[in-house]
Parts: sequence; structure tokens; C-alpha cells
Amino acid sequence: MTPPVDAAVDRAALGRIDEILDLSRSKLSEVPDKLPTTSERWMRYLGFPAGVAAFLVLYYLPTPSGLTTGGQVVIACFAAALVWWITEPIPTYLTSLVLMAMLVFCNGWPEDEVLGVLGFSVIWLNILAFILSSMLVKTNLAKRIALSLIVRFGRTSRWILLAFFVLNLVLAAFIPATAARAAILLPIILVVASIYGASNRNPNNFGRNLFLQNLQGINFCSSAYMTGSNANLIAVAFILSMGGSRVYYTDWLFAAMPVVLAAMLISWWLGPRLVFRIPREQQSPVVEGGIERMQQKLHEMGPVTQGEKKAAAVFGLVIVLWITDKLHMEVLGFEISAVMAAFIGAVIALAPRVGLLKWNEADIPWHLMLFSCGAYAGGLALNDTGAARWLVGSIFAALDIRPGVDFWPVYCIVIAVNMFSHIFFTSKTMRTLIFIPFVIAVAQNLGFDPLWLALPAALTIDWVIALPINAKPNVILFATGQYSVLDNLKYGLLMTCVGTLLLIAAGFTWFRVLGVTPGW
Amino acid sequence: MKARRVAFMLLVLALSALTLFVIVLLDEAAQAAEIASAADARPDTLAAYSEIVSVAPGGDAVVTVTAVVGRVSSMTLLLPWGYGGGRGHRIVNGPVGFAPGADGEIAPLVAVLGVPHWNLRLLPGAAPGDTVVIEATVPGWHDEDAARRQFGAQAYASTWVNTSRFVLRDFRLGLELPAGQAVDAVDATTPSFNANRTPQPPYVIGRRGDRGTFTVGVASLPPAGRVAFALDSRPARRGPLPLALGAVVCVLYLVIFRDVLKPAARA
Repeated sequence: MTPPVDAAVDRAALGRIDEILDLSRSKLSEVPDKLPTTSERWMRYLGFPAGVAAFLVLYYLPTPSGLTTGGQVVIACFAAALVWWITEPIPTYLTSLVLMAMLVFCNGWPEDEVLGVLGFSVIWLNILAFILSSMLVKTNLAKRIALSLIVRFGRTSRWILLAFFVLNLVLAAFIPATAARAAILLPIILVVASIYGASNRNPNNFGRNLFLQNLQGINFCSSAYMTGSNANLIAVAFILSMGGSRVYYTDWLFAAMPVVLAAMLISWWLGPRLVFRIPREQQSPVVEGGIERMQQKLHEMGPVTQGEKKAAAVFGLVIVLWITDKLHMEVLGFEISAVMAAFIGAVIALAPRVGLLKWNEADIPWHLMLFSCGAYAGGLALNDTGAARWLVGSIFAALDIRPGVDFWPVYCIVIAVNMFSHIFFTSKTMRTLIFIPFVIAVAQNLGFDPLWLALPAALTIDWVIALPINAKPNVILFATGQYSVLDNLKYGLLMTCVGTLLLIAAGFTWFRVLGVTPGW
Repeated sequence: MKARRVAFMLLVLALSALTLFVIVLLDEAAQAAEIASAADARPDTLAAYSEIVSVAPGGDAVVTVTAVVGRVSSMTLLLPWGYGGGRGHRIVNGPVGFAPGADGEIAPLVAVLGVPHWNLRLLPGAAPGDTVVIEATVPGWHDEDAARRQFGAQAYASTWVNTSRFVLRDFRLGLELPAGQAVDAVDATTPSFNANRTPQPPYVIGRRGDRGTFTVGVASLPPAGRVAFALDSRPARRGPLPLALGAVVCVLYLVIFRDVLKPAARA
């Protein structure tokens, strides 16, 4: 008895789906080789001497007034690393290691501080996020969620990309930690990318759009809500304590939400058409038979297994702890931070017999942790030595804004400077602590209501989208190896320009209606 | 009988009114006395106060104190001197003179509870707003060998305690490093800097010619208040080693990695 030809084709197609969805074939912990384009090859070749030149120029310049020699060294080291991260003459994790060594040997930041970065909560959160992600992948729960999403929204690449934006907007309302949101979405994004033919060994433009739009979604959806990130709350506190204006949740929401929605739609439209054009063959799942086959595969997965239920319970517990963080003290008498919530989840996931994962099955990209360490060490050294504060002060001093100037040029300058400054920072909180007081001081010196400049400036805080070093979710998504630093920079800079224009346009129109900027 | 009762009631009323009157009078007097004593308790102030330690190569330092006279209730100015003995104490400027010590001789320094103080007396005609500048040399204030740190850095630290009776407005404690030195890192200050609480640090790093300067300050320093700093300095001029290393590494990279430009090259 030979099976009918159709059935054989079906089995072959389903086998192909299994192959596509098998994420163990492209582990995050492995760094795949990539074939660079001609321009990338030149950037790599010239990037190394360019980084060294940047270091030497900044190192040998006379130390300006207001800056320590230690701060100058840190600026020089960070500039070199920034050039290398962008041009990639050496792998990004190696650049981080070199940066950390340079900070120590050039006496920029103490050795203990540099080495201590590996123990920071942000690094732990990354490690734990990857353990939880591995659990979802191993139990096939990520596959099931992704297939459901594809079957519902994934007929074309455009709709699946839009679905992720909407998902990000919803998640941001409940989960303030951006890294936590990245951890939730990562396994689902990986499976969806595979279905559209993107992997770290074979990255394609759909994958670049998917990962970078999620990076943007995770970050700038945070700016839609006052509680979207801790940095937003710090900014609001500064506006109250220094500027004397109280910003309520709805004030922030009404001001920010239209800007975020417009930015999301523009990014969704621009990405696949202008930045990374998605060819026709990547506009639908690469699986033969398309959505119907996916539906069949989902059906074949059968009812939810015991392992999936367990994984959902563990992950659900972590998510509940993340969402209810404000209630912990009231209910439990103590607080469980985002890291410790993930810790609990990881301990259960790795527990023998009870758990779902063995250590060897946890796919942790350690090269990414080293990359993160370097980025954070550089950023923290800039802050600790006062170099970041000096840089920001110098920018505002160089602009030489004096009383009597019209409000609108100042508004445009403040928005642009705040928006683009994120490229050189590795922490939103740090940026907020440095920038918002400056903006309030500028407004007070010029005789403007501090709210007019400070609230729009605060809405730029979460736009940390240009480089993998700018924020935690950027690092997590960069670990997938589906896009380069240059890809991130290209798309990120474009959207930073868009965001700047949107906030300026909103300042002239929508914010005036709300009373955030001076009325007509 | 009825008339007697009315008279008694009138007497009680009159006594009550008198008692109330006395109580009100006493209360007003007490308040006036309180206000007067509060006015007397207002502390003496100096409208501004700065102490600059200017360090010469070798470690000797010239300490310059600049004080602006504020509200003073006595002509005696006992100002803190936290450097032991020192030498060359002199008045540079201002309506002050050195006062006699315990032995009746003029003495620039006098010990108050074992702590040395500038022994100054305001001259007749001195008024609030007058500036007083005094100066002294402290030999060996900075021990270069003991202060040596990694990578050729030098550690400097100073603590200033207000042992005077004055509230010092606009207080500044400054350090001028030896020629060719610059501030490398600020290790600690009192008051400390916390970006969450204050947007600007309480200190300023600057330059005067080829000397690095550092000043930490507070708006008002009460008696027993303390200001301190600890910092590292290093030569402002950099050595040639990084330049040489950078050049060598660049050349090596451009030679060894020239195949990066070939189309088949992998990352």
C-alpha cells in the first residue's frame, strides 16, 4: 500500500514547517558568520583606525574647564567604542571587552567598578529572560502562540507587523519594564521570523523589519504612558519639584498617545517600503501551502500539553508579578523587583523534576552579556565622572540661548537635542537625571513656563532606538543576530527624525490645545 | 438682702474682669520678652566666606581666607584655622587687626578649646559688607609620596569644620593644584552629590592658567558644620605611550586585516 501522492506532499510540507520552527538549529548563544556587503567591508577596514583616531584626538585635547581628566579619558574611550560598535571591525562583544580594559588602563574608571557591571541587575534580567524564553521555546508554547498569531494576522507581512505594534502598545500599559516586555515577545518574534524565512544564519528584510519595529514598539510605546518606564516618573517628579507643575496620568496620556500612534503607523509604513524593502517572496510565510498549512500544523499540535501548561503557569506567574509590582508592598509586605520576579520563574523552570528545562537547554547568549557589560560600563563611567553632565551643559552653553528669544526656536532645539542625545547614552534614567533639570533651568532663565519645554522633552526619553547599546530591550533583540548595528542605526536615525518632527508638529498644534505649550 | 446679693455679684464680675485684664497684660509682656530674646539670639553671620588652598610643587600651600563681614555682635573675629601652626600669617586686606593673646602680646593665632583660630579684631568703623582677606603658608601640607596613587595620580583631601560662632553664608572651600596638574577624579565631597535630589553637584572644577582648581561650597554653613572633599589629580599633559601604541595597532590592523576588503571575507 503506497500512500496517496497528496498525503505524501502534505507530510513533506509539514516536515518543512517543523524544520523552520526548530529554533534549536539556530541558537542565540552561537555567533554566526555573516557575509558583509562591499560598503560594510570598507567600514570594517577603516572603522578600526577611525576609532583609534577618535580616541587619540579626544585623549590629547587640552582638558576643558569643568571636566576632569578622568572624564575626558572616558569620553575618548566611549567615542572609540561607539565607532567600533557601528562599523564592527571587531565583534561587538570584543569591542565591549576592549572598552572595559581601556577604561581601567587609561585610569578612566576604577577596576572594581568596571568588573562589577557584570553583577548589575540589568545583566541578571537579561540572563533570566533568556532562560524563560528557552523554556517557552522548548515546551512549544512559543510555537503555539506564534502560529495562532500568524493564522489570525499573518496572511501578509504587513498585518503581522501591525499586530506586533498593537501588542506592544497594550503590553506597555501594564508592564513598565521594557526588558520584561522584550522577554515576553522574544520567543514569539523568533518563531514568526522563522515562518517568514528569517534566522540568524539567514537574515532577511522581513526579519529586520520585525525585530527593529518591535524594538521601536517596545521603546516608544513606553512614552505613551506616564507609568511606561521609571524614567518617565523621574521626569514628572522633576517637573513638579523644580518646575512647580503637576503632570497627571491623563495629561501625559493625552499628550503622548497621538504622537506614539502616529510614530507607530509611520514606522510600520516606512520600514518595509523604504528602509528594508520586503521582497514579494518574504511578504507571506515561506511554508508551502501558506496559512492553511500553518492552520493544519496548529491543529496537529493538538490540545495544550502538560509541559505547555506548566510553562504558561511559570511565565504567567512572572508576568503577574511584573504587572502587580505596585501592590506587592500592600499585599505581601515586601516588594519583588522585575529581576527577582524573573529569578523566581527561572528557579522553577530549572528545578529538577518540577521544572521544564535542563541547564544545557537554556540558550543564553553570553557574548551578548559581555556586550551589555561594556555598554553599561561606558555609560556609567560617563555618568560617574561627570562627563555626561559636562557634555550636556556644554551643548546648552554652546547654543547660547538668552532671555528675549522667541519660544518656538527654543522648543525645536530642545526637542531635537533631547531626541538625538539618546545615541550617546546607555540609560534612560541617567539621561532623564541629566537633561530634564537642564531643560527646566533653561525655561526658567528665559522666562517660559517650565512645563512648556519639560513635558515635551520628557516625551523623548523613551525614544532609545538608534543603537543596541541604548536600552535593555535593544540588547536582548540584538542577541538574535537578525540585524546589524548599522541596520539598527539606519532605521533608528530615520525614526528619530520622524519622532522629532512629530513632537515639533505636536508642539505647534495638539500640545497647544492641551495647554502643554503656549496657546494661540 | 437683695441689695447685698447684687453687690456680691457685681464684686465677682469686677474681680473676674480684673483677672482677665491682668492675664492679657502678662501675656503681651511675655510675648514681647520672647520676641526680644529671639532677636538677641540671632546668630552672628559672615555674608560670605571662602578658603582657598593653593598648593605649590613640593607640597607647601598658601591658604587664603576671604570673609565678608555680616551681622556681628562683637568686634572679635575668631576664625577657624585647621592647619596646625603654619607661618607668615598676615592680613592682606580689610578693616581688621590681630588681637592680643592670653599673654597680652599680639598673636595671629589663638587656641580655643585646643583648636587654633585666627585671632582677629574688627577695627573701629568696620561695617557689614567689608571684605577681609588673610593669608598664611602651610609648609608640607601635601605629602607627594604618601599621596601617590596608580598611574601617577596624587590624592588630595581636606575637611573644614566651622568651629567659629558665625553662620557662614555662601561658603566655599577651594583647592588650587600645583602648576601642570588637573583634577582627575572627584572621589567624595561633603555635602555629597546625589543626582536624584539635586540636579547640580555642589562643586565646580575649573582651571586657572595651567593649574587645575576645585571648589566645593554650601549656601550656608552653621557652627559645627562641615565641608570636605577628596580628589585625585594627575598631570594635565599626557604621555606619548597611547599615541605610539595607537599608531602601531592601527598599522598592524591595516596590514593583517587587509583581506577584510576581499568579497569572500567573513566577519
